[in-house]
Amino acid sequence: MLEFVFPKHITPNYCHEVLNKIEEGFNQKSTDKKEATIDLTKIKKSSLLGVLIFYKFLEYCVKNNCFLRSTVLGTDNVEKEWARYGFTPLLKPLFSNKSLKEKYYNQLDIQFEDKFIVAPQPLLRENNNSKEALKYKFLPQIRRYYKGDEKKVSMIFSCLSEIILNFWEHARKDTHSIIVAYGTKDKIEIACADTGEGLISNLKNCDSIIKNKKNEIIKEAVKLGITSKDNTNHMGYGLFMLDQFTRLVKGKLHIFSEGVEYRNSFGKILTKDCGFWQGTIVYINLPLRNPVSITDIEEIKNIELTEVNLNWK
Amino acid sequence: MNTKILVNRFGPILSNQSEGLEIYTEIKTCLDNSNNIVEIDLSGVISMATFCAKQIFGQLFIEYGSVVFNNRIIISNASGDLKSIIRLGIRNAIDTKN
Repeated sequence: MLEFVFPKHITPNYCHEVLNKIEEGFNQKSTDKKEATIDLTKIKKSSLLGVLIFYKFLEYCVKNNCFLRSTVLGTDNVEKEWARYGFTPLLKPLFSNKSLKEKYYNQLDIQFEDKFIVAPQPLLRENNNSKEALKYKFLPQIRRYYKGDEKKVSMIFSCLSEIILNFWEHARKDTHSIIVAYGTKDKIEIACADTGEGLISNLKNCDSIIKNKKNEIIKEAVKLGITSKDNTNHMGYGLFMLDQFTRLVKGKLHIFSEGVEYRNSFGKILTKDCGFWQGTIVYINLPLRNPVSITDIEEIKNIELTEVNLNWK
Repeated sequence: MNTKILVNRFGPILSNQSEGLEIYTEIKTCLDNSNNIVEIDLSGVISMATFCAKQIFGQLFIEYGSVVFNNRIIISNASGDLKSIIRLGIRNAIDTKN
Protein backbone atom coordinates (compact mmCIF):
# COMPACT_ATOMS: atom_id res chain seq x y z
CA MET A 1 0.00 0.00 0.00
CA LEU A 2 1.40 3.37 -1.01
CA GLU A 3 0.53 6.57 0.79
CA PHE A 4 1.10 10.08 -0.58
CA VAL A 5 0.43 12.60 2.16
CA PHE A 6 0.40 16.19 0.97
CA PRO A 7 1.99 18.61 3.47
CA LYS A 8 0.20 21.38 5.38
CA HIS A 9 1.24 24.06 2.94
CA ILE A 10 1.12 23.54 -0.81
CA THR A 11 2.07 27.13 -1.59
CA PRO A 12 4.93 27.80 -4.07
CA ASN A 13 7.62 28.03 -1.36
CA TYR A 14 6.62 24.58 -0.08
CA CYS A 15 6.01 22.82 -3.39
CA HIS A 16 9.43 21.15 -3.16
CA GLU A 17 7.99 19.36 -0.11
CA VAL A 18 4.98 18.31 -2.15
CA LEU A 19 7.33 16.82 -4.74
CA ASN A 20 9.28 15.02 -1.99
CA LYS A 21 6.05 13.37 -0.90
CA ILE A 22 4.83 12.26 -4.32
CA GLU A 23 7.98 11.37 -6.27
CA GLU A 24 7.50 7.65 -5.59
CA GLY A 25 4.37 7.81 -7.77
CA PHE A 26 6.49 8.29 -10.90
CA ASN A 27 8.26 4.98 -10.20
CA GLN A 28 5.03 3.00 -10.23
CA LYS A 29 4.50 2.97 -13.97
CA SER A 30 6.46 -0.21 -14.53
CA THR A 31 6.24 -2.05 -11.20
CA ASP A 32 3.76 -4.44 -9.69
CA LYS A 33 0.61 -2.50 -9.07
CA LYS A 34 -0.18 -1.50 -5.53
CA GLU A 35 -3.10 0.25 -3.91
CA ALA A 36 -2.52 3.90 -3.16
CA THR A 37 -3.96 6.64 -1.02
CA ILE A 38 -3.46 10.31 -1.84
CA ASP A 39 -4.13 12.11 1.38
CA LEU A 40 -4.97 15.82 1.13
CA THR A 41 -6.54 16.17 4.56
CA LYS A 42 -3.50 17.83 6.14
CA ILE A 43 -3.57 20.75 3.69
CA LYS A 44 -4.21 24.04 5.44
CA LYS A 45 -2.89 26.50 2.90
CA SER A 46 -3.32 25.95 -0.80
CA SER A 47 -2.33 27.75 -4.00
CA LEU A 48 -2.79 27.74 -7.74
CA LEU A 49 0.53 25.92 -8.16
CA GLY A 50 -0.20 23.36 -5.45
CA VAL A 51 -3.55 22.46 -7.02
CA LEU A 52 -1.98 22.20 -10.47
CA ILE A 53 0.71 19.83 -9.14
CA PHE A 54 -1.91 17.65 -7.46
CA TYR A 55 -3.99 17.53 -10.63
CA LYS A 56 -1.07 16.71 -12.96
CA PHE A 57 0.22 14.05 -10.56
CA LEU A 58 -3.17 12.36 -10.39
CA GLU A 59 -3.61 12.63 -14.15
CA TYR A 60 -0.17 11.05 -14.73
CA CYS A 61 -0.94 8.18 -12.34
CA VAL A 62 -4.36 7.49 -13.87
CA LYS A 63 -3.13 7.69 -17.46
CA ASN A 64 -0.18 5.42 -16.79
CA ASN A 65 -2.11 2.95 -14.63
CA CYS A 66 0.36 3.47 -11.81
CA PHE A 67 -1.86 1.96 -9.13
CA LEU A 68 -4.07 -1.05 -8.69
CA ARG A 69 -6.61 1.22 -7.11
CA SER A 70 -6.31 4.71 -5.64
CA THR A 71 -8.23 6.69 -3.07
CA VAL A 72 -8.09 10.44 -2.72
CA LEU A 73 -8.84 11.75 0.75
CA GLY A 74 -9.91 15.38 0.71
CA THR A 75 -11.77 17.97 2.73
CA ASP A 76 -14.39 20.58 1.92
CA ASN A 77 -11.67 23.21 1.80
CA VAL A 78 -9.60 21.18 -0.63
CA GLU A 79 -12.64 20.81 -2.88
CA LYS A 80 -13.30 24.54 -2.66
CA GLU A 81 -9.76 25.20 -3.88
CA TRP A 82 -10.24 22.85 -6.84
CA ALA A 83 -13.42 24.72 -7.71
CA ARG A 84 -11.80 28.11 -7.19
CA TYR A 85 -9.10 27.47 -9.76
CA GLY A 86 -11.42 25.65 -12.17
CA PHE A 87 -10.09 22.09 -11.71
CA THR A 88 -13.29 20.39 -10.57
CA PRO A 89 -14.59 19.45 -14.06
CA LEU A 90 -11.19 17.94 -14.90
CA LEU A 91 -10.93 15.93 -11.70
CA LYS A 92 -14.34 14.29 -11.94
CA PRO A 93 -13.46 12.06 -14.94
CA LEU A 94 -10.15 11.12 -13.30
CA PHE A 95 -11.94 9.99 -10.15
CA SER A 96 -14.32 7.87 -12.18
CA ASN A 97 -11.47 6.54 -14.35
CA LYS A 98 -12.94 7.97 -17.54
CA SER A 99 -10.55 9.21 -20.16
CA LEU A 100 -10.06 12.93 -20.13
CA LYS A 101 -11.65 14.19 -23.28
CA GLU A 102 -11.55 17.58 -24.81
CA LYS A 103 -15.16 18.22 -23.90
CA TYR A 104 -14.17 18.62 -20.26
CA TYR A 105 -11.84 21.44 -21.16
CA ASN A 106 -14.54 23.07 -23.22
CA GLN A 107 -16.64 23.39 -20.10
CA LEU A 108 -14.03 25.62 -18.56
CA ASP A 109 -14.23 29.34 -18.74
CA ILE A 110 -12.54 32.45 -17.52
CA GLN A 111 -13.94 33.81 -14.29
CA PHE A 112 -14.01 37.54 -13.70
CA GLU A 113 -14.93 39.35 -10.53
CA ASP A 114 -12.45 41.62 -8.83
CA LYS A 115 -9.89 39.11 -10.07
CA PHE A 116 -9.64 36.73 -12.98
CA ILE A 117 -8.86 33.06 -13.16
CA VAL A 118 -7.96 31.34 -16.39
CA ALA A 119 -9.13 27.81 -15.74
CA PRO A 120 -6.68 25.09 -16.75
CA GLN A 121 -6.04 25.02 -20.46
CA PRO A 122 -4.27 22.27 -22.34
CA LEU A 123 -1.40 23.20 -24.63
CA LEU A 124 -1.78 20.75 -27.44
CA ARG A 125 0.08 21.34 -30.65
CA GLU A 126 -2.41 19.55 -32.83
CA ASN A 127 -5.52 20.88 -31.17
CA ASN A 128 -6.94 24.03 -32.75
CA ASN A 129 -9.69 24.36 -30.17
CA SER A 130 -7.24 24.77 -27.32
CA LYS A 131 -5.21 27.30 -29.31
CA GLU A 132 -8.30 29.26 -30.21
CA ALA A 133 -9.72 29.21 -26.70
CA LEU A 134 -6.51 30.70 -25.37
CA LYS A 135 -6.03 33.28 -28.08
CA TYR A 136 -9.52 34.43 -28.84
CA LYS A 137 -11.33 33.83 -25.57
CA PHE A 138 -8.90 34.24 -22.70
CA LEU A 139 -6.27 36.70 -23.87
CA PRO A 140 -8.67 39.41 -25.10
CA GLN A 141 -10.49 39.22 -21.77
CA ILE A 142 -7.27 39.57 -19.82
CA ARG A 143 -6.47 42.59 -21.96
CA ARG A 144 -9.84 44.15 -21.17
CA TYR A 145 -9.36 43.42 -17.47
CA TYR A 146 -6.16 45.51 -17.46
CA LYS A 147 -7.57 48.08 -19.87
CA GLY A 148 -5.74 51.37 -19.76
CA ASP A 149 -2.49 49.87 -18.58
CA GLU A 150 -0.80 48.62 -21.70
CA LYS A 151 2.52 48.13 -19.93
CA LYS A 152 0.95 45.53 -17.62
CA VAL A 153 -0.69 43.82 -20.57
CA SER A 154 2.54 43.81 -22.53
CA MET A 155 4.55 42.28 -19.66
CA ILE A 156 1.92 39.62 -19.02
CA PHE A 157 1.56 38.74 -22.69
CA SER A 158 5.34 38.59 -23.16
CA CYS A 159 5.49 36.01 -20.37
CA LEU A 160 2.54 34.09 -21.75
CA SER A 161 3.89 33.97 -25.30
CA GLU A 162 7.24 32.57 -24.13
CA ILE A 163 5.69 30.06 -21.71
CA ILE A 164 3.14 28.85 -24.23
CA LEU A 165 5.66 28.55 -27.05
CA ASN A 166 8.14 26.68 -24.91
CA PHE A 167 5.67 24.18 -23.54
CA TRP A 168 4.19 23.80 -26.99
CA GLU A 169 7.40 23.30 -28.87
CA HIS A 170 9.74 21.69 -26.34
CA ALA A 171 7.46 18.86 -25.33
CA ARG A 172 8.49 16.20 -27.80
CA LYS A 173 5.26 14.33 -27.24
CA ASP A 174 2.04 16.04 -26.33
CA THR A 175 1.83 15.26 -22.65
CA HIS A 176 -1.10 17.49 -21.85
CA SER A 177 0.80 20.54 -20.74
CA ILE A 178 -1.60 22.58 -18.67
CA ILE A 179 -1.49 26.33 -18.18
CA VAL A 180 -3.49 28.16 -15.56
CA ALA A 181 -3.43 31.78 -14.43
CA TYR A 182 -4.76 33.93 -11.64
CA GLY A 183 -4.70 37.70 -11.73
CA THR A 184 -5.74 40.74 -9.75
CA LYS A 185 -5.05 44.38 -10.48
CA ASP A 186 -1.89 44.06 -8.35
CA LYS A 187 -0.38 40.75 -9.38
CA ILE A 188 -0.47 37.89 -11.87
CA GLU A 189 0.35 34.24 -11.29
CA ILE A 190 0.92 31.87 -14.20
CA ALA A 191 1.64 28.18 -13.73
CA CYS A 192 2.32 25.58 -16.37
CA ALA A 193 3.20 21.91 -15.97
CA ASP A 194 3.78 18.87 -18.10
CA THR A 195 4.77 15.28 -17.47
CA GLY A 196 6.88 14.74 -20.56
CA GLU A 197 10.62 14.84 -21.00
CA GLY A 198 11.84 17.42 -18.52
CA LEU A 199 14.01 20.48 -18.92
CA ILE A 200 17.00 18.72 -17.34
CA SER A 201 16.91 15.79 -19.77
CA ASN A 202 16.39 18.17 -22.67
CA LEU A 203 19.38 20.31 -21.73
CA LYS A 204 21.74 17.63 -20.49
CA ASN A 205 22.93 16.60 -23.91
CA CYS A 206 23.01 19.96 -25.61
CA ASP A 207 26.29 21.47 -26.73
CA SER A 208 25.92 24.80 -24.96
CA ILE A 209 25.62 23.13 -21.55
CA ILE A 210 28.86 21.91 -20.07
CA LYS A 211 27.52 21.25 -16.58
CA ASN A 212 26.67 17.83 -15.25
CA LYS A 213 24.89 18.38 -11.97
CA LYS A 214 21.17 19.00 -12.10
CA ASN A 215 21.29 22.14 -9.97
CA GLU A 216 23.99 23.57 -12.24
CA ILE A 217 22.00 22.70 -15.36
CA ILE A 218 18.84 24.37 -14.08
CA LYS A 219 20.83 27.49 -13.22
CA GLU A 220 22.19 27.55 -16.75
CA ALA A 221 18.70 27.14 -18.19
CA VAL A 222 17.71 30.71 -17.29
CA LYS A 223 20.83 32.23 -18.84
CA LEU A 224 20.64 34.17 -22.07
CA GLY A 225 20.98 32.05 -25.20
CA ILE A 226 20.66 28.66 -23.53
CA THR A 227 18.40 26.37 -25.52
CA SER A 228 18.12 22.64 -25.90
CA LYS A 229 17.53 23.19 -29.59
CA ASP A 230 20.68 24.70 -31.01
CA ASN A 231 20.71 25.60 -34.71
CA THR A 232 16.98 26.24 -34.81
CA ASN A 233 14.84 29.33 -34.39
CA HIS A 234 14.92 28.79 -30.64
CA MET A 235 17.02 31.58 -29.21
CA GLY A 236 17.15 30.69 -25.54
CA TYR A 237 15.30 33.81 -24.42
CA GLY A 238 12.20 32.22 -22.86
CA LEU A 239 13.30 31.38 -19.34
CA PHE A 240 15.84 34.21 -19.43
CA MET A 241 13.07 36.75 -19.97
CA LEU A 242 10.88 35.26 -17.23
CA ASP A 243 13.84 35.39 -14.84
CA GLN A 244 14.65 38.98 -15.75
CA PHE A 245 11.03 40.16 -15.41
CA THR A 246 10.96 38.47 -11.99
CA ARG A 247 14.16 40.22 -10.93
CA LEU A 248 13.06 43.64 -12.19
CA VAL A 249 9.61 43.69 -10.57
CA LYS A 250 10.71 41.72 -7.48
CA GLY A 251 8.46 38.77 -8.12
CA LYS A 252 8.89 35.04 -7.81
CA LEU A 253 9.85 32.36 -10.29
CA HIS A 254 9.98 28.65 -9.52
CA ILE A 255 11.07 25.98 -11.99
CA PHE A 256 10.92 22.31 -11.02
CA SER A 257 12.24 19.49 -13.16
CA GLU A 258 13.42 15.97 -12.51
CA GLY A 259 14.51 16.38 -8.90
CA VAL A 260 15.74 19.95 -8.81
CA GLU A 261 14.25 23.40 -8.21
CA TYR A 262 15.35 26.83 -9.43
CA ARG A 263 13.94 29.65 -7.38
CA ASN A 264 14.16 33.40 -7.94
CA SER A 265 12.57 35.13 -4.95
CA PHE A 266 12.64 38.90 -5.35
CA GLY A 267 15.95 38.61 -7.20
CA LYS A 268 17.52 36.16 -4.75
CA ILE A 269 18.53 32.96 -6.53
CA LEU A 270 18.43 29.51 -5.03
CA THR A 271 18.76 26.06 -6.54
CA LYS A 272 18.09 22.94 -4.53
CA ASP A 273 17.35 19.25 -4.83
CA CYS A 274 13.74 18.22 -4.41
CA GLY A 275 11.49 15.28 -5.13
CA PHE A 276 11.54 13.98 -8.69
CA TRP A 277 8.95 15.39 -11.08
CA GLN A 278 8.62 13.70 -14.45
CA GLY A 279 8.60 16.75 -16.71
CA THR A 280 8.76 20.46 -16.01
CA ILE A 281 6.79 22.90 -13.90
CA VAL A 282 7.12 26.68 -14.35
CA TYR A 283 5.45 29.12 -11.97
CA ILE A 284 5.77 32.90 -12.09
CA ASN A 285 4.24 35.48 -9.78
CA LEU A 286 4.71 39.09 -10.84
CA PRO A 287 3.60 42.15 -8.87
CA LEU A 288 2.00 44.64 -11.26
CA ARG A 289 2.53 47.89 -9.36
CA ASN A 290 5.55 48.84 -11.47
CA PRO A 291 5.39 46.73 -14.63
CA VAL A 292 8.40 46.64 -16.90
CA SER A 293 8.82 45.96 -20.57
CA ILE A 294 11.25 43.91 -22.59
CA THR A 295 13.34 47.00 -23.26
CA ASP A 296 13.99 47.35 -19.53
CA ILE A 297 16.07 44.19 -19.72
CA GLU A 298 19.66 45.38 -20.09
CA GLU A 299 20.78 42.63 -22.48
CA ILE A 300 17.87 43.38 -24.81
CA LYS A 301 18.10 47.17 -24.58
CA ASN A 302 21.70 47.06 -25.70
CA ILE A 303 21.18 44.93 -28.79
CA GLU A 304 22.76 46.58 -31.81
CA LEU A 305 21.48 46.02 -35.31
CA THR A 306 23.53 48.00 -37.77
CA GLU A 307 23.07 45.62 -40.71
CA VAL A 308 19.58 46.84 -41.58
CA ASN A 309 17.44 49.96 -41.30
CA LEU A 310 14.03 48.64 -40.50
CA ASN A 311 11.15 50.56 -42.01
CA TRP A 312 8.74 51.17 -39.15
CA LYS A 313 5.47 52.88 -39.93
CA MET B 1 1.76 49.09 -54.91
CA ASN B 2 1.77 47.71 -51.37
CA THR B 3 0.64 44.29 -50.26
CA LYS B 4 -0.58 44.38 -46.68
CA ILE B 5 -0.39 41.35 -44.41
CA LEU B 6 -2.54 41.54 -41.31
CA VAL B 7 -0.97 39.55 -38.52
CA ASN B 8 -3.69 40.07 -35.91
CA ARG B 9 -5.77 37.29 -37.43
CA PHE B 10 -3.56 35.03 -35.31
CA GLY B 11 -4.70 36.75 -32.14
CA PRO B 12 -2.91 39.09 -29.72
CA ILE B 13 0.17 36.90 -29.32
CA LEU B 14 2.24 34.90 -31.78
CA SER B 15 3.32 31.88 -29.87
CA ASN B 16 3.72 28.88 -32.05
CA GLN B 17 5.78 27.60 -34.90
CA SER B 18 2.97 26.93 -37.35
CA GLU B 19 1.69 30.50 -37.17
CA GLY B 20 5.21 31.83 -37.62
CA LEU B 21 5.70 29.60 -40.62
CA GLU B 22 2.42 30.74 -42.18
CA ILE B 23 3.34 34.40 -41.85
CA TYR B 24 6.87 33.83 -43.10
CA THR B 25 5.57 31.91 -46.14
CA GLU B 26 3.03 34.60 -46.94
CA ILE B 27 5.64 37.34 -46.86
CA LYS B 28 8.07 35.25 -48.89
CA THR B 29 5.42 34.52 -51.53
CA CYS B 30 4.70 38.25 -51.89
CA LEU B 31 8.40 39.07 -52.21
CA ASP B 32 8.99 36.31 -54.76
CA ASN B 33 5.95 36.82 -56.95
CA SER B 34 5.86 40.57 -57.37
CA ASN B 35 7.90 43.69 -56.96
CA ASN B 36 5.43 45.01 -54.45
CA ILE B 37 6.36 46.51 -51.13
CA VAL B 38 5.12 44.20 -48.40
CA GLU B 39 3.60 45.88 -45.37
CA ILE B 40 3.38 43.67 -42.29
CA ASP B 41 0.69 45.20 -40.12
CA LEU B 42 1.03 44.32 -36.44
CA SER B 43 -1.89 46.33 -35.09
CA GLY B 44 -3.67 44.35 -32.38
CA VAL B 45 -0.62 42.17 -31.78
CA ILE B 46 0.65 42.61 -28.23
CA SER B 47 3.50 40.17 -28.10
CA MET B 48 5.45 37.68 -30.12
CA ALA B 49 7.58 34.80 -28.90
CA THR B 50 11.24 35.39 -29.69
CA PHE B 51 11.17 32.12 -31.63
CA CYS B 52 8.60 33.56 -34.04
CA ALA B 53 10.57 36.78 -34.47
CA LYS B 54 13.60 34.81 -35.61
CA GLN B 55 11.51 32.42 -37.66
CA ILE B 56 9.84 35.24 -39.59
CA PHE B 57 12.06 38.31 -39.65
CA GLY B 58 15.42 36.71 -38.95
CA GLN B 59 14.96 34.11 -41.63
CA LEU B 60 13.73 36.68 -44.17
CA PHE B 61 16.74 38.88 -43.50
CA ILE B 62 19.13 35.98 -43.98
CA GLU B 63 17.44 34.93 -47.22
CA TYR B 64 16.86 38.32 -48.83
CA GLY B 65 19.56 40.51 -47.30
CA SER B 66 19.50 44.12 -46.27
CA VAL B 67 18.64 45.64 -49.69
CA VAL B 68 15.33 43.82 -50.07
CA PHE B 69 14.63 44.24 -46.36
CA ASN B 70 15.29 47.99 -46.51
CA ASN B 71 13.42 48.63 -49.73
CA ARG B 72 10.54 46.22 -49.81
CA ILE B 73 9.49 45.44 -46.24
CA ILE B 74 7.55 47.84 -44.04
CA ILE B 75 6.53 46.89 -40.52
CA SER B 76 3.59 48.95 -39.33
CA ASN B 77 1.87 49.50 -35.99
CA ALA B 78 4.48 47.65 -33.95
CA SER B 79 4.68 48.55 -30.26
CA GLY B 80 8.06 49.31 -28.68
CA ASP B 81 8.22 45.79 -27.27
CA LEU B 82 7.44 44.20 -30.62
CA LYS B 83 10.13 46.32 -32.29
CA SER B 84 12.65 45.04 -29.73
CA ILE B 85 11.62 41.43 -30.23
CA ILE B 86 11.88 41.75 -34.02
CA ARG B 87 15.32 43.34 -33.77
CA LEU B 88 16.32 40.53 -31.42
CA GLY B 89 15.12 37.90 -33.89
CA ILE B 90 17.14 39.42 -36.73
CA ARG B 91 20.23 39.91 -34.56
CA ASN B 92 20.12 36.29 -33.44
CA ALA B 93 19.61 35.01 -36.98
CA ILE B 94 22.67 36.95 -38.16
CA ASP B 95 24.80 35.83 -35.20
CA THR B 96 23.91 32.17 -35.49
CA LYS B 97 24.50 32.16 -39.24
CA ASN B 98 28.04 33.43 -38.79
